Amino acid sequence: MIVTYLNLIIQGVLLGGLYAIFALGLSLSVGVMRFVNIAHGDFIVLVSFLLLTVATALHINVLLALVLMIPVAFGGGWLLQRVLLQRVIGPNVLLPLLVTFGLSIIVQNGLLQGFGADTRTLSAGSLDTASLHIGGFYVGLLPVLTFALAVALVVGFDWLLYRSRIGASIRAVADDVAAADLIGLSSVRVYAIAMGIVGVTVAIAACFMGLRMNFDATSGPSRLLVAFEVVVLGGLGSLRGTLLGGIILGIAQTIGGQIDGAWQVLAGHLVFLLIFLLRPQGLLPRY
Amino acid sequence: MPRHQRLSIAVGRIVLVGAAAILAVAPFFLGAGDLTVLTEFLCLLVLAWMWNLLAGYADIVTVGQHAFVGVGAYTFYGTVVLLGVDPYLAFAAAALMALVIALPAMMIVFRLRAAYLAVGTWVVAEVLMLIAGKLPNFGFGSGVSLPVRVAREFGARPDERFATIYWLAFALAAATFASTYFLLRSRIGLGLTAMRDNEEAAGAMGVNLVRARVICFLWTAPFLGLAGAIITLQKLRISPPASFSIIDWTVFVIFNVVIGGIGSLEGPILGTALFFILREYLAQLGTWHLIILGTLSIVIILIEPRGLWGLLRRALGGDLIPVSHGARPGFGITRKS
Amino acid sequence: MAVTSSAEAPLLSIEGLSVYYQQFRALHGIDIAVGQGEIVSIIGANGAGKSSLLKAIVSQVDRIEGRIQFAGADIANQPTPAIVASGIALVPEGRRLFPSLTVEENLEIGWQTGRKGSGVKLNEVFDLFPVLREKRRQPAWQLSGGQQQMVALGRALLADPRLLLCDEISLGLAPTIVNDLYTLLLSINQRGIGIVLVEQDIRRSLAIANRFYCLLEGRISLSGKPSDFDRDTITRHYFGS
Repeated sequence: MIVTYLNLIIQGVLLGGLYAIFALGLSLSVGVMRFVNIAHGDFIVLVSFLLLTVATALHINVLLALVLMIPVAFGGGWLLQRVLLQRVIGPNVLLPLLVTFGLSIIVQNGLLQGFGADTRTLSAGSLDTASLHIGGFYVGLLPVLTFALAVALVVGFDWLLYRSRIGASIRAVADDVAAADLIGLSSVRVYAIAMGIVGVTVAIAACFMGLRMNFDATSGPSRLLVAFEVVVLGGLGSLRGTLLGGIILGIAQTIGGQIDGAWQVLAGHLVFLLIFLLRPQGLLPRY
Repeated sequence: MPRHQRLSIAVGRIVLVGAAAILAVAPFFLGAGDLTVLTEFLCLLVLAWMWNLLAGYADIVTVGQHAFVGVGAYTFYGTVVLLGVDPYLAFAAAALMALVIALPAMMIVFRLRAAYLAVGTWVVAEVLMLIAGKLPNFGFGSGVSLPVRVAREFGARPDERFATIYWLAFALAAATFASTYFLLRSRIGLGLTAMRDNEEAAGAMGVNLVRARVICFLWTAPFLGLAGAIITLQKLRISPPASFSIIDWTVFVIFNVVIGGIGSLEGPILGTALFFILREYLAQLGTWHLIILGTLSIVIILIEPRGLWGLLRRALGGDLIPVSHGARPGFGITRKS
Repeated sequence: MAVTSSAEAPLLSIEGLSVYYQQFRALHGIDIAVGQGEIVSIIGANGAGKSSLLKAIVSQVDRIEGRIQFAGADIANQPTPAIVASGIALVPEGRRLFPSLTVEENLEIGWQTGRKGSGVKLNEVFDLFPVLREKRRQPAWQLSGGQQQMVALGRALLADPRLLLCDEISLGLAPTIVNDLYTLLLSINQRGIGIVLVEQDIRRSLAIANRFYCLLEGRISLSGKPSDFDRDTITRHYFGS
């Protein structure tokens, strides 16, 4: 019995790694540009479809497709910010919300139009089913890799934000955008770079989501809600909190799903609401 | 104000009143098909006015109002079918239940700000929909139909029924309009409009803005619930994805209000009407319908955040439905210049 | 009407500048010049338009009319990063440091936005303000007002400016600290860096200025050398009689 639950917890933790990757990009855009990108989940799904297309067309492994996709994703995020979102960023939170909401619907229906309503999945060959035997438990290699990647990304982001010049610029603009503009630190340029970075995390999330679970054109909103809950659970502005939030959500969903398949998503939401009510500032808030 | 503008406004008002009068007597000269469309129009108009009240006046953007529509639908079904209550009382139950659920929902989401609040309302709606799908007597995930005997209580013959349901929708729309109008012209509404137009005087006026926002959030719930009940009566069925449909009761509504014009009572009318007109032509386009609506919304936000009504209003020079007490230029949304 | 004390072209030349915030007009067609290596003081009451002037120079206001020339080049409506990179650095009103960034990170950003030339280096700034060297890894919000002002000034100096714009740097600081700051400004000026000094405190700023302009409700009410006018005259033009 205990073994079963321990196994569930391990699975949950590993799932949490994937959820943390979903949330990293959202956390960055929320922390720096102070808006919630309603289309975040849809962009993840969009890139999943793109990865599928590229991998199939070029007959390459989806992981290689990801490597090719990363600069494209950076450019996509950069362009989105420069061309569209920059026009609506400002004191009024309604505008970016409505614009990204519109984008979400456009992307979903564009994907429906272009790829149809079928569920898809990504495959990395033998990696999909490979498993490790650790201490009496069988764990999938892919989930372990995903979790390791999540940790690596959190460490990498930490390095980027706190030990690099561009990171200092990003934090400066996040602190006081008006002051940055006054002294000649272009918030427009910094925001664009930040969204480019978000694009890269979206690409990575897309790849490992697609490998792990099915997706279709309308899967975006559920990914957004996961990312949102992870960010809020973890505490706004906290990278480590994002990892912790992901783990908690992953465990909640895994245990809920064990009780009843249909309870998986609901369990996650309920745990989120409960923790949020008890600790609205998040588990490891920076501020 | 220049004479031609005063004339335009007068004409505009006459048109509005005339349209309302025609709507009031529609069942006498329209057939079942048209009445159904108009009933839907009136319900969506109620939803639009409610979303607009929160987003355009109280500074509360929600993407979860479909929660209360679904709650109203399920409560109506439950009280009429399971408890055998008189259908008209069931409406009251639907409104009341929506209000009851709105209280804890509000306490959760009001801890969040702005965009987080919006997504928070979405989470709440998701939870309610998932819970509805677990209710045994309501058909679980696939839902259940409303028994015909219930529909018959609204009229023995079909055309009677359509007319009664239509008039219920009309009554709801009229009540929504009148009460929202008076709310906005009351002290609470004044405070909200002042706050929205960025006046520090709002605080100086002694209006408790937190209380005003609470009142507005709770205010919308019963109207949304009633709309949900009427929609159920019309569709004769409840199910989690339909009664709690984010596309039908939130996405379309938001697009309509944004395109028509947030922050005015006329905008939602314009947007919802346009939606129904366009739907006739766009419906066969399937997914392109939503793509076009989404693109149009974004374009409108970039060009004129006050929507089509904002553009029209500039030409007219004034409100058709005067909500502000003075010569206020109107909506406080300005894009970064 | 450009008044400059030297024969060579002015470092900064402003002609017919009007500044608008939405419909509100903060400055009405004013002319200002700053010669090479000059200290020019801008005095005026609250709301006279002093801050608007500095912000207009770095292109951070809604709308302007008129000409602004810096070192011979037109900078009106150029993007702010380009203006700063060409040699104008602003010490904003209220310091406006980045609170969560360390002292050193705040200073580094100044260097990043500037000319990146052979001017002031980080160590020099620490030599000028030794207390900052001790606190270099502390977040800026932990510093006192005077220390923050030092960081703000250091940040501007690291941008290697030819012209330094100082917006109310004495506000809220103890007199002894202000004295130190002003002594510092003089030594900065001696390196050939021009300074535009916006202050409400008339006495101090006029004491070190070569020339001054007095703003009243968006217009220049008085200008010239401080020594040319007596105190009463200046006060009258400051408040408007």
